[in-house]
Amino acid sequence: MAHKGKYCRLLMGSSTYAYDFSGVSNSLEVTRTAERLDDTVFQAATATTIAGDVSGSIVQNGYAHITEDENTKLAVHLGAAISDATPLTVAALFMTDIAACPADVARNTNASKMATAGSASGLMTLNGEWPQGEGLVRGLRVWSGTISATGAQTSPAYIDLGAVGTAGGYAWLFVRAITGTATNASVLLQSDDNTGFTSAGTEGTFTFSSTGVVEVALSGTVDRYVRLSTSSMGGATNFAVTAIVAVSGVTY
Amino acid sequence: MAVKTRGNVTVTFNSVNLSPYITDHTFTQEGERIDITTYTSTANTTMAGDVTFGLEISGILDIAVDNALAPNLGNGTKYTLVVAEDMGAQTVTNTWTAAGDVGAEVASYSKNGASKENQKFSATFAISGAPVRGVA
Repeated sequence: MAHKGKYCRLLMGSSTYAYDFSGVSNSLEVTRTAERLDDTVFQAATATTIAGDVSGSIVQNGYAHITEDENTKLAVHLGAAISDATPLTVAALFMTDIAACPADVARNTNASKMATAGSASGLMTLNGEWPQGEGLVRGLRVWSGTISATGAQTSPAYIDLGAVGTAGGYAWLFVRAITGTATNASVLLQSDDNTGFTSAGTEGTFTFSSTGVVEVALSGTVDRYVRLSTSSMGGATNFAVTAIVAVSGVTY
Repeated sequence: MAVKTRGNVTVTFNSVNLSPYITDHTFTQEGERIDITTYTSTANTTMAGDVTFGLEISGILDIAVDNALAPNLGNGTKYTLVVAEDMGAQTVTNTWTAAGDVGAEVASYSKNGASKENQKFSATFAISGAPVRGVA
């Protein structure tokens, strides 16, 4: 099934903020390339190669939009991120019209380029570029929306990774907004081998008291069905979040 | 009579048929030329070197494509690749069955989305070793 280009999403954040720049973006590209290393030896039938290190980037183009505060956030944080050593987490989501859509996450990166441009009769554009940082890791979106009560999230109630992972991975929670005051709010990433989650195991816990991106490392086995479950609101009325999980050997 | 591409090319990577999502492909076989010209040569002289195979595909982004290509980029594993081209009277099939130094790896993978268009992907494969070439 083909997916419209508008079903993309760009998230960027640090330990203190997390924003969704979909409202000011009109194109998004993720590129990953593996170096090709020649290992042809004597008596080989023809040339042989092996893959070398992988490098990648996320590139965004967009408009400066008069009604969007995201412009300012993008411009300010992109500009600052080029010269600032504060690490960023950037996620590029494609096919967001399906629940477990792919999300490529650049870990511990910084903005490498920010450009604003315009002509007298044209629109002002705002473009950004981020290198892979510590690696461009492909995950799947677990859940996105506003949480206003404890318990397992619904819509979707879970995602299916398609296979069990045995070598851990990563998970991220982009906490974009908090209504009220959160003190040590906690959201669990759980997995199970059945969709009823009758034997759910907690793979990671996101704990936060402010907006920002929370990364947790996963270890060992991650079952194929994954969900998000809130164990404490931390006193907040609600919070807007997006959760992404990446499992080694399964999603990346 | 010329043969249309549509319906006549099949690309299978790691047992996943990518053809339903491909809109363009380029399959290349390049023979290196090694210069062996000597003082006594009557002209510039070369001999054939190794052949390098390459495959570039692009098309419509789908979760099946993303699942097949993205996780396998740079993971150090070679996979079986089959490229079948029906030239009209005959179908030429090049098969790299993953074993030892033979097989294909995802060398690059890119996906993009732009408002008012459909989401797209492009990929290149690093193909290692010689294929089994069949004509039927």
